[in-house]
Amino acid sequence: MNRAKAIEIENLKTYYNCDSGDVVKAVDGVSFGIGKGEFFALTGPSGCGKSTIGFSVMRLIQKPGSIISGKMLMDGYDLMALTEKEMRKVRGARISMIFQDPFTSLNPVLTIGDQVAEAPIVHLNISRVEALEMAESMLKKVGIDEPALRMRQYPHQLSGGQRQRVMIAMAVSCGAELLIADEPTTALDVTTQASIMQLLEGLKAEEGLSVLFITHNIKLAEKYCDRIAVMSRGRIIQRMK
Amino acid sequence: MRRFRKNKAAVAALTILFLMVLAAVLAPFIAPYDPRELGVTALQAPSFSHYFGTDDFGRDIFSRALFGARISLSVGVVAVSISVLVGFFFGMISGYFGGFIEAFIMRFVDVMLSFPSIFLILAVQTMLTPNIYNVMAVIGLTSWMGVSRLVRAEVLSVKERPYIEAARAIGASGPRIMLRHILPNVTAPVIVAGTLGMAGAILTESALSFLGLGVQPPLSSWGNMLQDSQAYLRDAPWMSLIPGLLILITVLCIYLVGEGLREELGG
Repeated sequence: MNRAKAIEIENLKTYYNCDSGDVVKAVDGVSFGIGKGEFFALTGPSGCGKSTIGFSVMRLIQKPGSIISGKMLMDGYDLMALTEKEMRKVRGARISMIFQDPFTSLNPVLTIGDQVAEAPIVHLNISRVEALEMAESMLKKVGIDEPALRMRQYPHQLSGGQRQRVMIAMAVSCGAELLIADEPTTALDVTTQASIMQLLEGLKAEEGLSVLFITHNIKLAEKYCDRIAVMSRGRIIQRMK
Repeated sequence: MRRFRKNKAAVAALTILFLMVLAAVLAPFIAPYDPRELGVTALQAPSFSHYFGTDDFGRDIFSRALFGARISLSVGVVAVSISVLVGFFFGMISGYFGGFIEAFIMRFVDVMLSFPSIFLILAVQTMLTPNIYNVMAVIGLTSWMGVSRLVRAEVLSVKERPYIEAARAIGASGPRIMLRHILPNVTAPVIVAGTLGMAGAILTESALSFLGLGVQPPLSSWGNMLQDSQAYLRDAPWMSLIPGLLILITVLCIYLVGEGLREELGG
């Protein structure tokens, strides 16, 4: 592995402190790196900590949980050393995340256009009109037909596959280098799964996007990913390819 | 609005309310007399020259009711707007941040709720000059607690939804998430509560004016028209019936519209 790294994670530990006093070591000393333009799969049984790694990298671990230690190096900077305000500039701009359930990951009361335009408005210091134009071209890029019409529609008017495409458009609209895909295809049927994976592959080829692909579908991981790490009980127990 | 339109009672109530607002807005053009003009013919029964009769000073009750509608309805709207704004603010802050802030605000709400509000309003009103603006402010500032509890409960459930996590994941800030992502998702039940609160505000204004601490004569509100009528219940029943019925109809219509909205929006 001599190519440049998109991110290098060293000895990450994320624990959850339960009310009962127990400490759940969801991620217990995990290290791995993802190269630029690489598809890296994290797989393993439910509750093994793979999603927690995704949220840890975003620094979006919710309250009872916290990142105990570890380094997450991106271009030589440690994400752990950033303030919350600085981290906000990383989220959505350099690292993005898409989620398992495209049915609940879009805000039901906002139009598709407004939601895709949000990241550009937050990060790029451009006007709403420009952001909406950008959003429309992003929708076209992720393979949504009739983007002009979709811009004005609400999430409930779209199919699951289309919504996941919208999520991807939101995630990559500001040129993120790393996409954390937390079971992006689990809620979709097999044909739609394949088309979403092809879309991600296309983005990798065109934009040099790196993907941290979290899944428990090991066949899907084998087919599309460059390297696979298998997790169990908070540790990586096997590395493949 | 399909379900609302099917609800005949709600549609009828909305129509009546609309006509009332229209009448209140156009009061100077509709009213046949100056509502403050004293006449020589006091306590006249309803007739073609005075549709609703005249009061103890010979003033035309129809004209006074029209101008009273302006006061009563605008007190309702402004007081509810104040209570919704304040309630939204505290509910959003406590629901979103949780912890100490939430505990502090919610205990404050409990304290506010433990006062019998009519006495609180009366106490405040006796210290202020009783005019329509103070009435609006006082009613608004003593009725926001229900809204804040409602908003807090909704925020607690909405902030755990995946799309809020998704908004964080694209780098949205706290205030942005509150205003742009959570707020539109909690408005439906607040609209319903606000509608019902308006009926309460109109009743409170009437009660205050009835007790002489609300809108002061010679300005007319439905409440102080009722107060004027006390001495003439037997001799001139129309004096109390007209404003009483107007309050009844308005409050009933607002409740019916509120119920219709609740069915429509699922509040």
